[in-house]
Amino acid sequence: MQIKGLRIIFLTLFLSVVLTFAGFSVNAESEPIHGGTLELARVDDATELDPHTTTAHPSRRIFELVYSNLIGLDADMQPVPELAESWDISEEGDEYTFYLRDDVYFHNGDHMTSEDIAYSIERILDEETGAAARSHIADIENVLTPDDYTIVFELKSPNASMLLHLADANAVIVNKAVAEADSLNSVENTVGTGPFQLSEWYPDEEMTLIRHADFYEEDKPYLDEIRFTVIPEEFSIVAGLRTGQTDFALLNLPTAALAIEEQTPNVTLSSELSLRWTPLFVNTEREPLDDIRVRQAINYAINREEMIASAMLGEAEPIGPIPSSLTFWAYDVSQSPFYQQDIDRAEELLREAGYEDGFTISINFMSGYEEVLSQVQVLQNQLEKVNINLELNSLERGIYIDRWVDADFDLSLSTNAGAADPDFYLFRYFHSEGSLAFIHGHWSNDRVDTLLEEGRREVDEELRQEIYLEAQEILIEEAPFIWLNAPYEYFAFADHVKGFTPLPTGGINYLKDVWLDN
Amino acid sequence: MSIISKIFSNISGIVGVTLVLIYIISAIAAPLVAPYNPYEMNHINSLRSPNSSNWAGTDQFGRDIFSRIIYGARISLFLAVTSMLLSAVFGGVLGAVLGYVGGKADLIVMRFVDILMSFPSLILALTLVAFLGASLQNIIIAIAIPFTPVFVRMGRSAAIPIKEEEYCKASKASGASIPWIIYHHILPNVFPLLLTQTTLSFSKAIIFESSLSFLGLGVQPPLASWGQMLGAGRQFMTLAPWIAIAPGLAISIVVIGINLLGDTMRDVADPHLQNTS
Repeated sequence: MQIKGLRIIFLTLFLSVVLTFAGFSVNAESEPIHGGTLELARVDDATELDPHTTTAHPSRRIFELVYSNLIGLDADMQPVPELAESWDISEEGDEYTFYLRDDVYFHNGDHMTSEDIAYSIERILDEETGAAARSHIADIENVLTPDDYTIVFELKSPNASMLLHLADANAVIVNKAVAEADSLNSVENTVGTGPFQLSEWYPDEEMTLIRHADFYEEDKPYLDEIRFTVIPEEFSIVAGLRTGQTDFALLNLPTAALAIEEQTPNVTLSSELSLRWTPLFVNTEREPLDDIRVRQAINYAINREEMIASAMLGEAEPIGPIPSSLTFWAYDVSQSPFYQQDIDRAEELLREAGYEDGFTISINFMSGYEEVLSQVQVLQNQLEKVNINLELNSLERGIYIDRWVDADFDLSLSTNAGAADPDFYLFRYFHSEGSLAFIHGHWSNDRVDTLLEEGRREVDEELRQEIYLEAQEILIEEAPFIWLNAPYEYFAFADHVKGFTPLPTGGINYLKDVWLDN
Repeated sequence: MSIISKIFSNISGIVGVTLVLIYIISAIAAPLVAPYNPYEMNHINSLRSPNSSNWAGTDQFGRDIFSRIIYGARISLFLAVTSMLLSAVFGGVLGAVLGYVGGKADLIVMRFVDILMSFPSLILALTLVAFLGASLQNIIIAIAIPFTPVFVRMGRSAAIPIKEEEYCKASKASGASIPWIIYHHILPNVFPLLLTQTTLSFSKAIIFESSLSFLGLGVQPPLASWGQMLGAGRQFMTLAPWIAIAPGLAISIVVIGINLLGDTMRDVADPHLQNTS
């Protein structure tokens, strides 16, 4: 007995010594430390603050930190618990039941219940609100709150993308009492349940977010404060990272990314293939683009790899209708004949269409975006080889958007926002009733209509994948748009910034896990 | 001493003339001077630093920067000459007429000119291009309009004293028409002043075109313009600085050359300065 006791004491001592040292080394590597201010720099400032109506990216970045959703997304775009600890989906796929956490508090101290969630969803569904997510979750017919911590959505018909839509930054949960009393578009009324609380905002200068002490995830967030600073020039941001003035930066320019990668030690660059996508919008109502052979000829004349290599400095990937960041849904464009440059085939098609002498068309794009200008120049150069003369129309942002909305262009090129859902890229544009079908001049295809409708209803992932792959194949062949590439989302951070998980959405939700190792 | 030899008797005159000549010759003989096609993309050659075959390096599309500078001289010379001619002829004649005729017309038009002058000229040009669209023709107009008020004022102020001269009054008394007097008496006197002002404004016009193109509202690709090259090169400042350095140097050298020449010409042409020397 005595020996055994000694042995235990000895063992305990030994273990405690070992563990202490182990603890030290682990501590230096991965034990998060509380405190500190994260200096975050980006090019644009938030525009407005109502999370349901403001779709501007810079504002969405704030919503991701200040508010929470029913569920969140992990780095692979898979649903993870947020306000709902768990959920059930009925077999028919038309009833969703969410079981909520009971320890969630708003920044103003209010306790969050299913009432707030029901209110938020109804606010989004109400046409008066003009919410961005309304059409995405419009299949919700009834919202039931059996008790304070359970909420049930009854759907008109199954909708396979429902969970993804509920995780969107424009579908966050707001405080019922605050929203009923006043507009949400102010710093005081930005009352969420997220890891950080909005404390100060000097528009176009800086915004300060402070730690939410009652945040429901234990111990988190680690940072005391995040200061968003607006620096309109990406190279000034890179300089800031170099001098240590900035800890964390959101970047878009491939050149800025390369400058960090090649010339800035002590700064990590994380590039995530983006959900954003760059297509050539084609007006299929205008001659000669109304002829499918002409559109296919353009597809054959383009060399996407070359375009990416020079215009994007290699910082993009060729894409089909669904960008390759949605790995599961994206069509593998490397197999498609339309993605291999073939000048002979292009010339043959143009001859068949009666344009052997070529023609002149124009392309609209926004001025002030170097990477867009570069891509347009390469395009001009490549199309010249098949006698297509491309006139460049560099337009000021507002004018560009007006013309786009009026479908007043031959070709139009811009990089557009994306979402983690295949339906987002297809239905609005290519279903004959899609809200944006006017952009390509009401091109339509019955098979695509059927497929896109089935895709919305199909709950089985494998079957749904087949549906979208077929639709994409038809779209590539018919070329109502000509898809070019998807860029990267860049997050650059100093070496002392630990624990960040980047998202392909460009989202910074996981700043809640970040800590500073100073 | 002839004007030419006076210019060459002065060191800054020699430097100015040489630089301007190089500029004009490379602009006119661009296809002969440029070693490569400035518009041809060669993706394998992209972002080469200056070397023996590409003297100023290549840009991100593998285009030869030296050739683009030569062709850029063409665009900048063409735009500066046409826009200066437009504003000098239009402004100078208008000013001369207003100065001679005077009265209400003079009062009203000059107030317009004052309004135009009170506008920051680059902003005015930017607004015009944004409004009209960025074609070569519109860029010429956008550069010419902000420069016109100076010429109007100059023409007018030169015309007013001449109106009071005896020979002018004599012509009027003997029944000469107003256009005849303006053409035979006023304009010949206004002309030398306009010429000097044109040289002085010329370098500003070059900078103007470069600024517009730098901001993406001037000359559109694929045409090479120095300002546009500078604008595109800005984002490569740390990765490939030569892309921005070459057009920057080209702009400064040409502007210095024209200014030196302009100063010398003023010294030579100005009778007051001549008397003192």
